[in-house]
Amino acid sequence: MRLKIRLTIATVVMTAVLICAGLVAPRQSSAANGLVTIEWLSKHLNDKGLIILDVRTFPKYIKSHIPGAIRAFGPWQVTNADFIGFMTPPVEQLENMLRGFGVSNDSLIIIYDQGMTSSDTSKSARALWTLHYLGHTKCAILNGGFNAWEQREKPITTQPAVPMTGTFKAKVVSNKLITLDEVKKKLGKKNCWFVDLRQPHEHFGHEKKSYISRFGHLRGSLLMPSAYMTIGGQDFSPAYLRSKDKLRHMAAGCGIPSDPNAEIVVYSNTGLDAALGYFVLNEILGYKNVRLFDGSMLEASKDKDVPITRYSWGWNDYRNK
Amino acid sequence: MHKIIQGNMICLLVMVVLASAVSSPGWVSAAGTAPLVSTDWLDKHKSDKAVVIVDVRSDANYGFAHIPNAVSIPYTELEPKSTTGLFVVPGEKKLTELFQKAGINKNSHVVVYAHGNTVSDASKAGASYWIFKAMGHKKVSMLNGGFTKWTFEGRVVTNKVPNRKRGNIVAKKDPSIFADFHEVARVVQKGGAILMDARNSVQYFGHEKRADVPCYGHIPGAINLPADFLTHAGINRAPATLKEKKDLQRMVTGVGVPSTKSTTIIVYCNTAQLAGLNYLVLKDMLGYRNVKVYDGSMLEYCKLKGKLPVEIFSWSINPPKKL
Repeated sequence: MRLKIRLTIATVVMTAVLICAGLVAPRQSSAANGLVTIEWLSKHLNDKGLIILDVRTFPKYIKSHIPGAIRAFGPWQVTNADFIGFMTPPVEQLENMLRGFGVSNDSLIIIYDQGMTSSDTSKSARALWTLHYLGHTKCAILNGGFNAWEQREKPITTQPAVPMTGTFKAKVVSNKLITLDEVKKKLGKKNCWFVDLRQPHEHFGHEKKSYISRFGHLRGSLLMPSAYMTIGGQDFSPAYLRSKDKLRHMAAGCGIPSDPNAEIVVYSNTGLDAALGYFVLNEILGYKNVRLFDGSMLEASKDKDVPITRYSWGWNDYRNK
Repeated sequence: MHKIIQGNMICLLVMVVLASAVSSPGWVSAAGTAPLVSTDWLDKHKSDKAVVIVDVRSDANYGFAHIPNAVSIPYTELEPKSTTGLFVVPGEKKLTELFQKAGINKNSHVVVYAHGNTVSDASKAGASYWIFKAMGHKKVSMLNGGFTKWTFEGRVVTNKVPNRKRGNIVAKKDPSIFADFHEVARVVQKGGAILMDARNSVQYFGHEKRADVPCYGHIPGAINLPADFLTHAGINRAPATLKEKKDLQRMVTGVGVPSTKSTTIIVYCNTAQLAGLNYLVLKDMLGYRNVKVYDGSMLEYCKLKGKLPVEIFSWSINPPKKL
């Protein structure tokens, strides 16, 4: 009996030690859940194999950035003369860009943005999605971005970092992306959930961005505004991501099924806010089949064959038919 | 040059003809009075004996300039802040005094207006419209587009206060268009009516809230039709005129209200101001017969709810989407 208790205590202690070890050196685990804290990054700034990507604009980068961070404004999305959408650049171009940032296949990549609003976080999320698309999952977003870093008075510099060229080679995971043709086939089909990451008034069709051709949303889609995923701007807070519990609650409240294998397509106006949806659903909540609609509303609204509904919440579209 | 002027004149003529064609109220509520009147209609009838124009903007705004013959009843007197921090309609006695002083008679056709720049303006007029109805006065209309549209169109304004004889109106509360906390609580527990939240989605969803409202989120099960969506306000600097009737019906169906016009709908927001506009649209433009306003709204619900829940981070999709 006593032995048993001792054994149990030993197990508990061992587990506790293991958990603590995991927390103290969370290099693997932190990258695995896609988010690192300011504290973690400030302790690991000089780690070998760590690459910090600053996705803000050049003027902001040159004014001040995290020591060692690489200027990585992009382009993460490109458009052509027809302005079809802000698409993922060709793989070769991305590989070259990432090698230029010093990325190799074993690099741990930490991405940060301005960290003021959810749309800032979306920029980091789009870079992270791009890395996932290229088969690189050792990456994470700095929670709260540069805003949180500055508020916590961590070291900053104006000295641009000059990276050594990396050796990154992509292994494209093509089902991270969905094209317009596939979207047309999937829309209205059972067991495929379209999730709109834009603002409710855009979803509803009360207003729209001038470059979007039609009001409303892809028929039948759910709405989970990326703007609600962080607390950026509330009581002057940096754009910290809401807790996993709250995000899970939110996903359920938006009608997303709890099955982690559910087939989900995320979209927004240009595929930028959609990336934050991808990040939350895939990295934070563990949905395995989340695809980003690259062309998003910009591309879809120009195609007359795509059913777009105005003046309704998407979840009512089929019920009222 | 002459030709251009001629062309302009023809254009103008066509516009005048068109305008007068739409100036007569397009639909008529059950009581026989149109819920909306146009600026054209009001311009023609502003001196009618039976018409009492009520300006619900602040005293200062009224004093600076108002529509000729308009009397002033500031919205803050129709929904004053109570000692407990709620915004609720005062008692019958107080309102009777207020209305009689303004010169309103039992058979007066009351036309309410506020500014018309934002949904907040339009809903002040909308809520005033609801309060007249709630006090048993059937002949009431709202000026579509408010003072903003009136002045945009270059119509006459004045700072002259009309000399009106004391009226004989008697305010008598019509309980059929009021919902109180107990009724709302019953619906939360047992259903039987549609709860509709007229606030913007960010407050409904619980991402943000108004500072004086104690809780985030919405009354469980409520569906969201933001009053913002009902007007053109903010789109290309348009005044806050209401959208077309067919679009409004589409929206109401699109947020999940059954098309059966006998459905009971209880509308609320933070204070019942925005809800007033939804009331006008649902009841008197679209013909839903059983529409009530929860005057205490979110401010009261959060204070009285006890063990009743508040729903946060949810669109209250119920039942879940089915294809």
